[in-house]
Parts: sequence; structure tokens; C-alpha cells
Amino acid sequence: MTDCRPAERRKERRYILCGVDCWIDGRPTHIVDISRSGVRMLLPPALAIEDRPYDIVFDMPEGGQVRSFRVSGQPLRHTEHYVVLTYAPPCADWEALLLSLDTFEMTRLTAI
Amino acid sequence: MERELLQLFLRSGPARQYNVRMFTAKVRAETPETPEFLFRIPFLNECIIFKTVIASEHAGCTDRRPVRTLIYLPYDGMRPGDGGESFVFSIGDFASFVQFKSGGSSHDEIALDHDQRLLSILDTVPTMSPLILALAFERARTYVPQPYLDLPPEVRVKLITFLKSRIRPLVVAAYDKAGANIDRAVEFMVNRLLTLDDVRAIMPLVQALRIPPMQAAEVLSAWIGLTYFEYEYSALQNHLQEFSLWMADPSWQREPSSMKDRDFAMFLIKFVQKRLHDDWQRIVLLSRRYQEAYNGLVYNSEVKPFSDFLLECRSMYWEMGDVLGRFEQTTHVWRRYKHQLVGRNCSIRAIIQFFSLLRTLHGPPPQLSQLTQQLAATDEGGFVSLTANLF
Repeated sequence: MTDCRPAERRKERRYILCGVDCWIDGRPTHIVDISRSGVRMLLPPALAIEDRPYDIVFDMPEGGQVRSFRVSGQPLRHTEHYVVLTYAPPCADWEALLLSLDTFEMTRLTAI
Repeated sequence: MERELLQLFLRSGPARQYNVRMFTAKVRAETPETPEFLFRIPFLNECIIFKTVIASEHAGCTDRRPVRTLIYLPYDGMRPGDGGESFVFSIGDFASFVQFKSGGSSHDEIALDHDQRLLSILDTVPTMSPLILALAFERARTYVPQPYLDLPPEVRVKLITFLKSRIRPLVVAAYDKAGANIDRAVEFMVNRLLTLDDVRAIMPLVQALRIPPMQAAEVLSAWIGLTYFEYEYSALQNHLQEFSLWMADPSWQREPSSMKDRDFAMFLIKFVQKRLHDDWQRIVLLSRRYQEAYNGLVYNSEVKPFSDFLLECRSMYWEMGDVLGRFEQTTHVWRRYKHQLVGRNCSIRAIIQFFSLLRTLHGPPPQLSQLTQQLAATDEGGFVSLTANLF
């Protein structure tokens, strides 16, 4: 059982992902940033945001394959350009998966 | 020494070297009937272009662009390591060099303008990394035959996806900060920011990020360049770490050698270790500063730190380009010598030879010859920065 605490979203670590395709209610869009239980996405044209759950699909690259995750997202707030939704992490190692696709993590430089 | 340096540059990767000659040979082989070359002046299609710091006040070197573009024409195309003619690019010297090569006879002005434009674009970037070149030509709306851009479509897609991932949150944050409503889709702006081919289209972002409009294209292209360099540096990291660990392990000292040789080897190693460590440390700090400023804007709506960072981006971009070139050359040399150095058969001679090469690479930058500098100073030599005997 994974928990989802919307009020804590901004306290969670946020990731800037690379190579993830996503859809909201079947419409392709882009992730702006994501945390383990919240995602900020660009608003697809003509998608009205209402107080209801939205169907979100993430296609994540993993070891040369694509792994698909479907979650239900509840809008938290939106602007003209983006929408923030909270969701329940779809698997136990979700945050590790996000970390592995984070652009800053990919390019982290350490002492030599 | 100069010949050693030339050999090092000829074995460099794309950060330092743009082997026009090699691409031309490929074009000739693949399309012998209708070859489409990069340059219109034929001899330029046989050149090799290097990026390097040149230690001379006459080379037109400024603090803002410390890395220069050096055009090298081998005497013998089959043996480029045997030497040739070279000059540091500037518009005046380019015209003089073409005149010199054509024996003073008149040349096609249209071809001269075309090639000067291409070289000027190459001169605006600190490395010859294929993606940086491709973006520079796109920004200048200049066509380049595909074989001269060594960028497979899948690699391009991967790198562009990476860059867009970083640009997207920035655009969203800037939209939030923009005083006026921006009637453009975020994705449109992400694409415009990446290609920077229409600065007017991104002006609302430029204003939101507090960049002086006249400097916007240069500043933002430097920021995109830095983002790309992070990717390149992280790719080199493992090789450099492996090399660094090997340097720190003094097992080679078990080999019989004279005290003199041993002391000299230690002197070389300490020199290379210090340069690598200092340069890498500086890059790590730059990278951290980048991330802090970026996170401040994207997550906390703090424009000023990012705006300040952007205004310093240009010098960082050139510095990161130069250091990247040296690190890339270091890993090339390491891979080439590794089999001689690792294991039981490592001799003190091999150690000295290897570290002498690296000392050349990480030591003071190459200089124009004294004669060339004198000619440049009096402006009697025809070429302000002809470096015929640099290599």
C-alpha cells in the first residue's frame, strides 16, 4: 500500500526526467517535473481541468525496454499552461526509477 | 615538442578536432558522381580544424573567447602527422591565407564569402562536438551537407530530448514570472529556445529572465552549451576516475629504475594530478552553481540567481569547452597507453613518455613562433596570426 499526501508534494524531491512519454486522459503531453506522488504536466490543448480523477500513463525507459505505468491523478492546481496532479506511486521502487531518469542525477559530477 | 602536440591533436575527439578532410573523403567515396562538399574553396575541404587556446596576444584572443579556431592543412594528406600549414582564424587572415594559397591570383568572391561565413560560425563555439556544431549552423540558418555533421539521428534525438527536458521547466517558470501574458504554447517556446533562430519569438522569456536583449542569443546559446557539456563531462567521468585511481596507485615504483628517472616521473605525475584535480574541481563547482540557480528559478521562482548565472554563462561556456577538450584528450591518451602501463610490464620509460605527453597537454598553451609574433607586431608579414610552424 502506497500513500499519497498531496499537501506534502512540495516537500518531496522533484525530478527533471528525460526520455519519459506520458499521456493524460489519452492525450500526449510533457512532464515539467515530477515527485514520488505529484506531477506537473503541460496542459494539452482543449483539456479542461475539473475536480475529478484523470487517467495518466507514463512510459518509462528501463534497460532498453519501455515499462508502462498507469495511475489516477487528482488535480491540485493548474494555470493556463500546466496542471499539477497528485497520484499514488504505482510501484514500490517508483522513486528509484524516477531518480534513474533524472537529468541532474544522470550528469552528477563527483570528485575524482 | 610541436610535433608531439600535433599528434595529440590529431588523436583528439570531437571536442577538439573537426576532421573536414576525413568527411570529404567519405563524401567522395559515397557520392563520387555528385559530391557535395562543405567548403567552396577546394583546398579547405582537405583541412583539419582544431580548437585550442593559443598563448599570444596577437592571435586575437580575448578573455571572453579564450579558445581559438585553428585551420590546419597537412603538407601530405596521407600523413597529417608530418606537419603542414596552419592559421588561427580571423576574417583578415583567412582572406590573406586564401590569397597566399592561390598564388596571388584572383579568387571567387562568392566562394570566399561562403567559406568565411562557415568558418565564422565554427569560431563562435568552443568545441567541435557535433551537436554544438549542428545547433550553431541551425541558429545561423546555414546549410551544411549532412555527412559533415557526424551526428547519427538517434544520438541527436537523445541529446535534444535531454536538452528539452531541461529547457521546459525553465520556460514554465519564466512564463509564471512574465509580466504580460505569453500567447504561445510552452512547447513552441522550448523549440525556439533550443534553436534560437528567432530571438524576437523568445523576447518575453528574455525579459522575464532579465537578459539584455542584445545579448540574448549569445547568453542563451551558452546556457544550452553548458547543459550539453554537463552531459559530456558525465560521460567522461568514469574514464577519468579510472585514470585518477591508477595515478594514485604507485605500484609502478616497484619496477627497477634510477633515482633520477623516478624523481622525474614523480614530478610529472604530481603536475598532471594537480592540473586534473584543479580543473575537475572547478567544473564540479560550476555544475553545482548551475543546478542551484536552476532549482531556485524552477522550484522557488527566484529569478535573480539564475539571471546572474546566465550573465556569467558565456565565460563559463568557453572555459568548460576548453577543459572538456583537455579531459577528452587525456582519456584518449590514457586508453592508447593503458596496455603498456597497467600490469607487470610497465617500464619507467613508458611512464615518463606517457606523463610527458600529458604534461604537454595540460601545460601552457601552444604559442606562436617568435618570428610570427614579430611579423604580426609590425604587420609586415601579411598574416597577423599565421602559425605555419606551430605544428
